[in-house]
Amino acid sequence: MVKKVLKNLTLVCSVLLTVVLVCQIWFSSSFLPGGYDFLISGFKRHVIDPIVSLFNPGVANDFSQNFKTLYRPEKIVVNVFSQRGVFADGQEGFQEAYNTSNDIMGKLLSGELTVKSRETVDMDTYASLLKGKSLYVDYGKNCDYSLFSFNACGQAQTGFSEELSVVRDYVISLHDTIMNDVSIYVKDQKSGNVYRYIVELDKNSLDGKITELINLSPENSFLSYAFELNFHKEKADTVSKILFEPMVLMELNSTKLPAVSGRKLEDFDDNIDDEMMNTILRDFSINTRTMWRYTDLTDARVFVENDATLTLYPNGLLEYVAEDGGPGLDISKGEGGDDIYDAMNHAVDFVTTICGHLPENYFSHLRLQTDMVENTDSQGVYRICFDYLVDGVPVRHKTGDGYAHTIEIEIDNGRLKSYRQYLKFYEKSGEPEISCMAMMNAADLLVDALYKEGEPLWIQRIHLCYVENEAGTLVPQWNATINNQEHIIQE
Amino acid sequence: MSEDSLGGAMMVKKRILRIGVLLLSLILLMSLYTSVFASPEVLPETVTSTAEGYVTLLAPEQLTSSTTNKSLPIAASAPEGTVVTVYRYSYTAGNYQKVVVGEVPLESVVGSTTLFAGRTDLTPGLNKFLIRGAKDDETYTVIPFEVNVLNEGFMDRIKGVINIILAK
Repeated sequence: MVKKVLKNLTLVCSVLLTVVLVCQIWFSSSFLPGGYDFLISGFKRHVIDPIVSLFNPGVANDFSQNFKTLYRPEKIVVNVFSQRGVFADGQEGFQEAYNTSNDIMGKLLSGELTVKSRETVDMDTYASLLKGKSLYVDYGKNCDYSLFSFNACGQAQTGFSEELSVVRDYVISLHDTIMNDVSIYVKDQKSGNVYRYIVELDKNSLDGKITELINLSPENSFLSYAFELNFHKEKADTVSKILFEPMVLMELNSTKLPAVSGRKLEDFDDNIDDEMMNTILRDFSINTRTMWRYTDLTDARVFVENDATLTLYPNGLLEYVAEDGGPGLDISKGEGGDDIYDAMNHAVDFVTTICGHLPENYFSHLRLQTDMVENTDSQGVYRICFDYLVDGVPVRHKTGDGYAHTIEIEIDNGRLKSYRQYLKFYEKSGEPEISCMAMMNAADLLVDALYKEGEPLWIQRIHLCYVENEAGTLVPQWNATINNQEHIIQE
Repeated sequence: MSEDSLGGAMMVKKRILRIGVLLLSLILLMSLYTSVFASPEVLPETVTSTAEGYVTLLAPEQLTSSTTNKSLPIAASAPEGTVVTVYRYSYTAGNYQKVVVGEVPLESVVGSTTLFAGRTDLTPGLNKFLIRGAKDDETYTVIPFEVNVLNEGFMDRIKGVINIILAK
């Protein structure tokens, strides 16, 4: 009897031990390459997410929500006659100004506001609005109307799709009349036409909002638009060496910016350990079991698989490069798509996924920085860039041959050809503010470097940015766009 | 003290004196050099140009204009190296005085862009300004201009009348 009980106990123990060992083998990451995350993520993507999205359309990995976070105006200028309040992205009051303007634009595009009349006006009229009571919303980059409209009202196609193709900025202007209506002016960058839409809107409420915003803004008594200074017109009696876009806001005094320092991900608690690196590798579809890995002489960690190489450099740069002629990583999930709308959708989703592994506030510092328009020269091929912002000032990275954005993606018909991202965080260091040279002095240096007899430089935009040099120091410098080419101006 | 050491001390004294004189002359020369480019703080009401083409007013476009704004953007073009200075007429002193914005005179040496820009506050009523582009102390162009600041109540009354007419 005792013998039988002992036998049964041994059997039960053996079975239990077997179950434990099998579980250990099955659920340890070494049994299958990449572990079981693909099963969990597949289940989440194909089962959980669709169900959740039915009840909550704004979940992470939702294109509309993420695109709205990444596509923001560079600045919003509140004009009350000569008083001017500039809200740069990230500054106090910016979100309030953006909500006000975006709400009105969204209602216009979705048809919620009644358009009493629509007409075209000339550029001088458009510029002169900024002398009155108005809100000037400047994105600083061209955007395809479908994306612009999607951002404002959630619809890619609206009743304005025929006349508006590419949008960069718009003005909401209060009339000097007793009528309860407001004018919204939108310039189509493709045709050059400026459209004026008169809409019925609670003017007093908007007036109150504008007054509230102007009181909120820091005093800017040295800002003038280029058209106010007549710097946009060729002079009749003298040679013009430099001309500015009429809406370029010129800082007439020298300014100061807070000192900023950068920290690599390794400097944080959640450093790039093997587990995080493996997660990132899986996002790039690099098989951690079959890849070839090594650390090169510069201390860069290199991961190589059949068609691509992923490198993590000691300065925090993560670089993915698909092999020349190779297919590249399919980030469209098999959907393909060769227009800017699809490319943006795929790029935003991919960036969100990568940034999902980093501390949460990293993503909120990013902003889309390049023009988002169809590539007519090579359909389906796009280069999309994102900048990291500190108080609305973008950070650029000095490389051997230029100045890189924080994230740069190259897509060819839904396939990722290259991806570069600086896995670094930037914040104010608390050190004394740094003086920047006056904008006019920067313009002098541009003329010295680029002016050719009889060909005046045409400045499309000029703004301050932080440049991180190879030693990791951040210095404020002026960044001017001339003929769609950026020039960082060094003292 | 020996004769040699006395002679040596005299030599050192002479050298120090020479260096002192040289330094003083250098300082004098430098001050003369800077004074060439500094515009006078005050200009008489009757000041006129001694040469043409050293400054062209870009903004305001008209020599006499009206506004309800509280500040004025001023822009000009001038040959590279010209010192451009903005003056405001003082009704109490009866002359033009340098405009000072935040303790800094509205003045600069024009660079390669050949452009000058600044902004100044306006006072209610008639504001008389003068912009001076100087190659040196003797060679300069002056352009006087006026900006009349209308009070907003007056402008509102005009707008009100226009609105009533339009509403009818």
